[in-house]
Amino acid sequence: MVCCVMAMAVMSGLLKLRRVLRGGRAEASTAFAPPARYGAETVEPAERAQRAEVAA
Amino acid sequence: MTALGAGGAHDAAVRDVDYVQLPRLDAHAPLLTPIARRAMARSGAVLAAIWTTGLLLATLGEGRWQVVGAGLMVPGGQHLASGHAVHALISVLALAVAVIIWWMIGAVVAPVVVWVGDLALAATMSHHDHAEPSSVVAAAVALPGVVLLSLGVHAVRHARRRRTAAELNASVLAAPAAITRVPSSPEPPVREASAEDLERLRFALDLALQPLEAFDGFDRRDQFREAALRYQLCVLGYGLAAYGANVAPAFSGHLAAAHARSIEKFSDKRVWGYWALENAWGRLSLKRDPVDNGDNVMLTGWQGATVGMFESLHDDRFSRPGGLTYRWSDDEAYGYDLPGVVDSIVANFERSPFTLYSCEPRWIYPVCNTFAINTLLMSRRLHGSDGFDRLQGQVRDAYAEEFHRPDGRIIGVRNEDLGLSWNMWAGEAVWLPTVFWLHPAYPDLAHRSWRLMRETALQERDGGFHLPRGLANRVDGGTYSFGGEAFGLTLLAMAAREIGDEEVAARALAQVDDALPTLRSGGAARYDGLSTQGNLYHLMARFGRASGLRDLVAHGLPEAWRTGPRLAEAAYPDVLVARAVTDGAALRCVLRPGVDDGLRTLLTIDRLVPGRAYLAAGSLEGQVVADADGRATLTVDLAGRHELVVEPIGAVA
Repeated sequence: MVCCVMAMAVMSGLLKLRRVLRGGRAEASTAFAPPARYGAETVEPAERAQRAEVAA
Repeated sequence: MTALGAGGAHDAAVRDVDYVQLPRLDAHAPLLTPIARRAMARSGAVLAAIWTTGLLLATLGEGRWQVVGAGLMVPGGQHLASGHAVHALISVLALAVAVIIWWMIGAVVAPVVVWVGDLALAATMSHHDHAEPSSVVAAAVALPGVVLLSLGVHAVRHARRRRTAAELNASVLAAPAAITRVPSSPEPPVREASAEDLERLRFALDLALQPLEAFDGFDRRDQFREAALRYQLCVLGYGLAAYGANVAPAFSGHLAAAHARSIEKFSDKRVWGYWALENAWGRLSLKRDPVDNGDNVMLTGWQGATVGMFESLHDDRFSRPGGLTYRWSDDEAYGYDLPGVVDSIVANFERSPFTLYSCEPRWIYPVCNTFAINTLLMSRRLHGSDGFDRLQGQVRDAYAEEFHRPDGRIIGVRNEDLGLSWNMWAGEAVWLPTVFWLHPAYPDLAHRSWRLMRETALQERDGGFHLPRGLANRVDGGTYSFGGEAFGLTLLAMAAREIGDEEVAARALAQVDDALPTLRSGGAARYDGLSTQGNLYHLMARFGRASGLRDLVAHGLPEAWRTGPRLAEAAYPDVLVARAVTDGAALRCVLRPGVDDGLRTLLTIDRLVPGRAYLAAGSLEGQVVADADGRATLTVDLAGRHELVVEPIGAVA
């Protein structure tokens, strides 16, 4: 267990050092990927607007 | 024999099971396992030769030669012999850190450089030109003393574990276990995803469908250990496969595209380039090929499993020549395919004295080898390869004898050269995924581990289940952050659901949900405070079912699902597929809009009978005739939960 903690601490320290050396902005993780689109654009905007009106 | 599942939407199907006596623990297990003993004897002989050389120098030489001799007998011995005990302690600590680095990133050169470098440095220093006789004696007895002490501690622990084995055989393991057949039922259950299921699925779909070169939303830590991109990509694929097999087996479209892209991202040097470094400092080889080598099951096994799942659900594009290409530069790339990866796995199983083989050079992780054996199992079904049949007994023996302690706990890692294992890597956080991934090939071993964990380790208190307190069970492997239970509970839910313990699975998932806030963005949802990898494991648990992995890996999809009508195209995120299943003739889907307001959209159905007329309930057309390729296009208005049923005219019940 001591070795495990030491290993994680070493890894954590190295990562922090890398961030410091790169000015704190290196490879910052984002929580989400940008919303993706896949497949043909089959949605009919007019229909969508009409339904939005009905819903309102 | 047939038994009704434990209940709940995830386990409501009637399953075919056999009641099987679980393998007994070996209450007479030898102190050292056979292969590990041979490895220890070899490495011990090398160490003994170095020690003897040191002893000869220390006893026959004078001055500086005596100092060098002391340094050969034990790391830091040169400082000890010269009367610098503090320096000796620093040397030992430096070597310990070097060994940890060796373990973490496979750099075998690290301990060698530290030991030899320290020795060389000390030998050239002016104050190391004499040796105190008493200190030389201390240096001479230090290493044998440590070895004997370690053996003694191991012997005491081993005796205790053998007693535990006998007790567990008579109690916890006495009753047989209900192990599902393959497949677990003639018609596997397909459940309908809830709106929240689909929100969380979108987190994975958005990750996968971004451009190949983009890795937004992935955790970026290092590419060596548990948080590496390769693991996130594989777990992404496994999660999508769980959804595909158990919720939408009759859907291809953006699901297949997302899963394929999660595999294609492996081509990027940022994902697999770590291997060039590890092979250099671990095997002293400048070869970069990530597949044709003697290690790296952390890539071949893991990726082989996601590719096998993809091919089981969708198509064989990754089994075509060059389907899996690892690109280093414009001029350098390594082209493989699933059969090529399988060849590498088979060759390494046959090469390794332990049968199981290494991730980082020289470090064998049995959990990673479970992915390799699952790859072989799928390759047998998909391509008729014989690797699994030839090796399954050998691999099983390796797991049972070399990688389980007498008390039934998994040995998490073993060094191929030294034969040594690290006790601290035998915790539940390693045990749980091993239970899950061993289930397809060795269900009895998986059930035994689950029973032992459930009865001897898992704690029930405050209305929930908890893994034993310990840092290894409180670390999120996807970010290396300590403290939370969520990552461990997610693995617990994943394994419990696969093994059929729905009570534990449902409560563990509810505990995660209670403990962590949910972040929402652009229609997607994920848990805050849990790594990307943890969120993807959560999808595996959420979309899993009893024996879901076992069915998918060992049996694949039923014939009717492989050939029946399929929802082939649906625009994402406009259309979300909450359920899609076929009986071989008809297609039944439940769809939901991926945008807030309603929409009208086109869907493509394929694998219809060419020229045949179909009723299309839920579409604006009402009925369609399949074209010469067996395809048809339908228009649907989506404003909420929407059922679409496409069935051949004349076959309506």
